[in-house]
Amino acid sequence: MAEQAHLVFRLAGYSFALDIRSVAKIHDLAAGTEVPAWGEELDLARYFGVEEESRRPFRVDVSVGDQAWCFRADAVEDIQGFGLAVVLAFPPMLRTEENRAIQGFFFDGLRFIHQVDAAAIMSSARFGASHLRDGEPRA
Amino acid sequence: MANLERKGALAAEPDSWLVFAIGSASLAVDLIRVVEIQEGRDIFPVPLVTPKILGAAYWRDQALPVLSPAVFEEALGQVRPQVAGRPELLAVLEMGGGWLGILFDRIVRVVRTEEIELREEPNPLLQSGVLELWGRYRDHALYRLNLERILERVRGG
Repeated sequence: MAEQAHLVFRLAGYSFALDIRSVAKIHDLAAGTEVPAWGEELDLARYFGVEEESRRPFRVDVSVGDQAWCFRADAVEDIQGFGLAVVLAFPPMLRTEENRAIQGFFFDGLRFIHQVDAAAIMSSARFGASHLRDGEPRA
Repeated sequence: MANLERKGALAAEPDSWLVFAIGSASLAVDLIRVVEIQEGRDIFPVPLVTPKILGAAYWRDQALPVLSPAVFEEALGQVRPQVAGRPELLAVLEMGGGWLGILFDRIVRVVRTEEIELREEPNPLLQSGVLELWGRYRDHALYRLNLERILERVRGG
């Protein structure tokens, strides 16, 4: 699990890692190039309850099976394999249905990077509640 | 008769307690539950968990959940001044088949049960039930951690 490549992105001060196999494309929205639609947009900060006012200049397109959705991030980092990071399980004491999408953490000596699962995000009840409808202004 | 019942109850209780301080309050926890005490650990926030949890710390190749100091401060009616920051000492407690970290300001002492002036009347639970007023130690009120209730609170109760 630790050797699998992950996209690390930052959102509202948190660092998250998403299996690169779920990532279809990353867009720099500040670049001024046309960004085609990619399914429904999820407010991932709202999903994780870490909402914070931000422009979120990156969009990450996600593909799970035949379903496409996307979310915005404050920053994206290099693709990482986490070969040298410590892989930590999510504490069983804190596990609930609501946080099932956080599989665990990578600890690189400086920070906890929350390892999230795109399929679990999509199957969660929070997914529908965190959608941004087309044309809906960002909070 | 009441005294005999009380002695019987005491016989089933732990012998040694870690007495520690949060602000001006003295709290006690069964020493056998204390796995380790550390200082100045980084604690990382975790989304989608109860606000009773401050975050998680890296400990023995695990993500150790750390209880928010606000849980005890609310129970004690204390409010920590913003400038004071959070307590720097971290005790790792074994509870419920897992481990939970609690933050505190300083160790008072390890004491034996007979050193504590236990209350004769039933111990009142403080607000939220995570602490009970247990007795007095060195002329200070001593509160005992209610670990079962703390666990319930952590699990969302």
